[in-house]
Amino acid sequence: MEILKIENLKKRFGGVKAVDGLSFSVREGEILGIIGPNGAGKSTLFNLLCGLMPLDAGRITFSGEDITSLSPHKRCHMGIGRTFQICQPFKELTVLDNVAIAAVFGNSKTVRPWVVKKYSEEILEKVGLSIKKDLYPAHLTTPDLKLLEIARALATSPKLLLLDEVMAGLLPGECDRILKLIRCINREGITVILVEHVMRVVRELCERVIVMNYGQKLCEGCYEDVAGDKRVIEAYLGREETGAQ
Amino acid sequence: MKNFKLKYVIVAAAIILAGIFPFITGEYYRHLGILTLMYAVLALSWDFAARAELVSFAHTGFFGLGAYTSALTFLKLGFPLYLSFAAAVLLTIVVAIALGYLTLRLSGIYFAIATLAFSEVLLVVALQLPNVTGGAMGISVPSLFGGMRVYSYCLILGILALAVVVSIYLERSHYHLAFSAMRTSPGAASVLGVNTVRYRLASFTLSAIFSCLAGAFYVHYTTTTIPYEAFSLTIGVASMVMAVLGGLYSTAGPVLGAIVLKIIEEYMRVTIPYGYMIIYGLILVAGILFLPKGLVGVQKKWKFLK
Ligand SMILES: Nc1ncnc2c1ncn2[C@@H]1O[C@H](COP(=O)(O)OP(=O)(O)O)[C@@H](O)[C@H]1O
Ligand SMILES: [Mg+2]
Repeated sequence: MEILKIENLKKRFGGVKAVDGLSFSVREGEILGIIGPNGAGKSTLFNLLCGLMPLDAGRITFSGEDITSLSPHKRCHMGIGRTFQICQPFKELTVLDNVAIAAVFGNSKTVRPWVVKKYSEEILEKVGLSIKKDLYPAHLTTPDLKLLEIARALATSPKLLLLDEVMAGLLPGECDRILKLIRCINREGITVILVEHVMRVVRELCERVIVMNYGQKLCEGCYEDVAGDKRVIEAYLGREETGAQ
Repeated sequence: MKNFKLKYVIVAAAIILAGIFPFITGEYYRHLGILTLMYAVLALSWDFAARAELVSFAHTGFFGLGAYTSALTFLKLGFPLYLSFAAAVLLTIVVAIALGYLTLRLSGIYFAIATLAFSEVLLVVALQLPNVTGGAMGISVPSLFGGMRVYSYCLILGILALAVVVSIYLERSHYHLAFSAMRTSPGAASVLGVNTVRYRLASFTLSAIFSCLAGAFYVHYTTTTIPYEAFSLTIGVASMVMAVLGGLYSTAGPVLGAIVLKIIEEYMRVTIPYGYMIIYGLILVAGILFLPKGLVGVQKKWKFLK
């Protein structure tokens, strides 16, 4: 069963073709990895998928419905959750309220008003941020901010979770913690699209990897196939591997 | 715990004082009190829009729209006072939603300019339709409650009370979450399920309603107005300054800002015969410099989940 299907997606910024005729589908329950050099269009792809940017051409089908022109909050209600590469915590709100907002607005059908608190605390418990629930984002460390991004997305009960470089800038130990969390999220039945530069994580988590370059799909396959592909080595691994690890 | 109690004592004292004020003072102070309360409504209404990150100059337009709609329905259609207020509010809701939709894609300075243009257009319309609006000569209505200031005071106090109730609701409900999220990152808010269009329109419309009520009250209270006064930018700017100096995104801030600034302005006006506006302006500048978060800016942020 495919949960997401995109066909011939295009988005340009002036002369830059950020996403250029991209097509692929995502199977329900899988963890799909998307890799590619900086500027390949991965974050732009996520922005198109969650509706933050209008697309120039193409079609997005989610759970069998055409969502191409749906607004972001409606896509959220349908079950698309995402994190931002550059964390965007709500700085005037506590960690707990940051999660509450996702529960109140993104998940009102299942989370009734009187259980918002319990629900939000459970989510924080799950990602391991419970003890920081009363802090403001300004007092969180980078790994905690990443966890908060994930917690908020989880609070909307997504069917499909888009993770944009959640491991960037983290130490190996911190990566492991998030790696376990992603695995656990996936076991609960949430489909994941993972954009990641840390190759070890991609290798361990993703059954299938898509390599993007200049907004296009360069190749697709399991990690070993992709990592051995000559074009990929040229476009990405050859230049980036030493830097990224 | 101590602060908690003190806060309630202060609020209770303020409510009692506001209630007995017109009965223990003379006509001059009653008049001053009425204008202060009207500006408190305007400052609070300006803050409603600011909460959704909207810097608006449309308040001038809605003030004038309220004044003219209420006066004209009263005069030409023979509406009773309350119906003329209701007509003004209804028209304002329609216009605010329409303007809100048209300006949906604008933010920051562009939104400010668009709303400024809106107010200017209304001014021109009021000037160019002399058959309906009286043109530059303006309009006159019979004096409110036969000139009994105590009643006028009660009416504007009631309008302010309504604005305060709305404000506290916005501050203590899911609106608070939506607004503060939209101020920090509208994109992240919408991705987490916030219908940002709806909350933006709600904040703008509520804000317009209270500017309109202030305008409708104003024309009946002063019994006469002209387009250059009812659609004067001074009104919008004053509401903004009061809200900012009092403390944005709060209930006490704009109200306190209106009271303090109105008292300072009046004191300056009667004590300094020439150029009092210059001193008043300097005080505003000093206020912005030394109290960037306003008079109540230091208070703790409200938490949705305790
Ligand atoms: N909002 C934007 N405005 C203009 N150009 C953009 C914008 N977002 C991304 N781009 C451009 O689109 C290209 C793809 O960027 P991005 O999707 O962020 O790549 P990646 O996430 O793969 O590093 C880059 O050339 C970038 O400069
Ligand atoms: Mg990126």
